[in-house]
Amino acid sequence: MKLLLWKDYRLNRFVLIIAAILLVCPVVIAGAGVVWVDFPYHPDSGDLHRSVWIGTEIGLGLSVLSLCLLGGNSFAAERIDGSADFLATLPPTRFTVLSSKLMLASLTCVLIAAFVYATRFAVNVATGLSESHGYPVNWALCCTGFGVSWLSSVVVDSPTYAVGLGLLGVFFVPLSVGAMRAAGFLAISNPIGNTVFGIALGTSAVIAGCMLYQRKEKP
Amino acid sequence: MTAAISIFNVTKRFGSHVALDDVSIDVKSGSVLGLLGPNGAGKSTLLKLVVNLLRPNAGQITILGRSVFEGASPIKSEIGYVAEEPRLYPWMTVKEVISFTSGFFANWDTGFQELLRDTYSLPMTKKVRQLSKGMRAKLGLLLALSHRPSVLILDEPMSGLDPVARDDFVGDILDAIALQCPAVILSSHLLADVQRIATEIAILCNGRLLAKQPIDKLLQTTRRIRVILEDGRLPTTRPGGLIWECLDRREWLVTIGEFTNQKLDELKNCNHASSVEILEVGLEDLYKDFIRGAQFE
Amino acid sequence: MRIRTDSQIPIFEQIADGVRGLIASGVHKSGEGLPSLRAFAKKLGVNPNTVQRAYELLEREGFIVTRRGLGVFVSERGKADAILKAESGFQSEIRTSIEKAAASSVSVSTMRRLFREESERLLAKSKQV
Repeated sequence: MKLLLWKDYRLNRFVLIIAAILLVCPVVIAGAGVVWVDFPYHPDSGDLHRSVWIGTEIGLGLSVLSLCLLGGNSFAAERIDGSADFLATLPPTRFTVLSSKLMLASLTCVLIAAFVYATRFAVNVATGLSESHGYPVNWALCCTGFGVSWLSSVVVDSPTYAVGLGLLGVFFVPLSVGAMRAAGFLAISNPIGNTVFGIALGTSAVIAGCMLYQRKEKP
Repeated sequence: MTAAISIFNVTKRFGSHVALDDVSIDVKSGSVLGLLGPNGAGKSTLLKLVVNLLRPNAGQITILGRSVFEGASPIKSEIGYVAEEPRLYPWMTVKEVISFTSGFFANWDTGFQELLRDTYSLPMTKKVRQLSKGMRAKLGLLLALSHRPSVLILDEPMSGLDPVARDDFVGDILDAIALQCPAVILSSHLLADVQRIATEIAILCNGRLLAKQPIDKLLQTTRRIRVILEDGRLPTTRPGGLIWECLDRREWLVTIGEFTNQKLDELKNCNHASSVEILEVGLEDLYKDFIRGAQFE
Repeated sequence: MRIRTDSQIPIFEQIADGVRGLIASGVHKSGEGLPSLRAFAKKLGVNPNTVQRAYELLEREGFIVTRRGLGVFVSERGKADAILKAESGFQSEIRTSIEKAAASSVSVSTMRRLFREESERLLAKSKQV
């Protein structure tokens, strides 16, 4: 398991670096921007607080892309260079192989969440302000993006297509919720609809991907 | 004694295409089965079934008496598999691939692996993608041998190697066989190499098993005979065990299995032949006769 | 010794033939050891099982003896036997040659003449030496 996790980490190292950049940069830019505008005076704590919060929100939004990359690479990348076949002839079962990939993805999510909450907590403490606005729409879309690209990665052979399908899945959520609201099927607000639908789609895609991988003939 | 590898009534379909049609083969420990057949005959499919990369539509495959399709983990540690152009992790270094693979085997023999590494003189710090084809084949063989498997599956391991690398690699395989005596299945188009390595031959064509015999017996009991027919005569009596025949004017070539002198007399006496002659042919010709005969049907 | 893979003769028989030839020509003398299975197999580039079969055949025919733990040795009467075997091999070879020539309509008298000429040439050569 440790070996598999190491292998999956090495395989996705580039994606993980991109994910870190996409997550951290908006926050740093937002924070540094406020400091720079007010320099040499002490930055306005309200401005700082607001822009760091927006920064984390943007970082989260960009993490949707990172998670699509991670999900889309999970199976197809190894299939395309043939190493999936090699791994399949080694003793670990498919379940172990799958678990390692899921573990890496969960670990990434935990790190993203940890960074977002730690930043928000830090800026709350530093400015003495507190805020809790918005719905966890970005979280839901992260879930959708990862789930759909994960499932696609099991099905299609090209990681690029898998990532693309994941992104399509992400756009599909607000479009379909909007359409359903317009048609009168949904009586809830857009953010709630997107969140619920996004999480539902994402988790079911992850589960479907796992089940399909276990049953599929070719690894 | 049960066979080390036992393939029993295996059928494999891809959609409507029948890749393997009711194939049964046994391989004992210490014997080397050369699996021959044209492209698309189902050789690779059969070997992928044995290493559980594919699942059959019907039939059973056991290794040391245990089915390969259930509880795969303990059986996989008894199998060494070298694919055609082994697809290892291209971004790993040789050292990394070895330590990665070794971690999954409880029966990994580090001493043996180091011995192989030194004999093959593998560059440990190079990335797999930087290796030559020959080196990659050697690395694949090292990974397949270091847990001292009782079953070795080699799927076209020499294809794509230049003659010198191929000779070298054949030597490595022979060494491995001498050291461990596993049951081996080797598929290849290179009949001269197969003849050196194998003790038995199985010929697949269009998913069916045409023949399976010890290689020496095949050579000793299969004969190609040239019959010169008298003017205006056509062959009338065909002997039993006919594999292939070809008629060109008065010359009638017949390849028959289970050859006996009686069959030769039969050919001469029942066919208005002016002369019969046994031709000297090698494994390659006999193999081609088998394939032509099967395709003609 | 070269292994031919384009021949109908199984490799183990080719090896046995080769070893008989080496014994008959005096390269391997009576009482001398032959290479071990693995070394010989490696040198020839064949499966050790095949060399084993060749040695078994030679032992059955009395050309070699196995001494447990020591290896394989040329037997006392190995050379004489090998020469006899070479003679019968030669006989079957000329038989095939004659049949082949006859099939190509070469007359028996021509064959006789050619055989006499060739053997006299060999005799003359050995006298020169």
